[in-house]
Amino acid sequence: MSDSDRLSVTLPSAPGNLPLVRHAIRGFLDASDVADPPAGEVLLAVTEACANVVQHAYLGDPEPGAIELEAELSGNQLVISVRDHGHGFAPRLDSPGAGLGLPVIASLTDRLEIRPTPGSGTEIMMAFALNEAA
Amino acid sequence: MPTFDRSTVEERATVVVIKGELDIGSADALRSALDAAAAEGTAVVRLEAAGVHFLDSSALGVILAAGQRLAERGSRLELANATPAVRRILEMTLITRTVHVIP
Repeated sequence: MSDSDRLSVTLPSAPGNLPLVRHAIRGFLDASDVADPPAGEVLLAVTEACANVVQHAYLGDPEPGAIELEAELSGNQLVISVRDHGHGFAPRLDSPGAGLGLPVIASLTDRLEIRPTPGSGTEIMMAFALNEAA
Repeated sequence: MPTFDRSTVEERATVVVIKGELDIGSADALRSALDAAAAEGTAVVRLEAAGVHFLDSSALGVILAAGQRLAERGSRLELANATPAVRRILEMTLITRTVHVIP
């Protein structure tokens, strides 16, 4: 596996950082050999996952924690994990979101897993089927 | 015998041209822009969305809420010239029932 098959990004959990996440994903997909990647679907799903972290994971903490994003191309699929080390995704009565994040992610991905991060926090693992390399 | 009298009614619209990516980081700015447009009091608030290349569910929630507030007073929210990225999430969430999407 080459470096171009993996992406690892860690950013503070802040709303203003989501465009940076999309920029990194776009660059990763552009540099890959994947023919016609489902970029729109990937960017939306990853943004929704990161927005969940921003809205929920570190609620009440004095400083926002990190969003850890890893992407890996393997065979004919793209697997992206979004991790945090916060307090989970408990619903908020004052949530600024529309409550559509996880359903949107589920409808965009070919496989979705949500599991605890070792220690504390949550990991959202999203898999996308890809066309064969050009 | 029924009668059919035809007349033409003109509606006033407030047009908001949006350019850029809309996500949780820009949701407050979007909400302010839509509130200001709604305050104009026109029958229609139209979002020109040809320059919107990304829209997430946070921004969609803001648009949905604005559309509902306008509908309550008899006005409507229109979304014009949506890009494929915008149409994707609109169709996924069936928001077209609340917001009038114009090709």
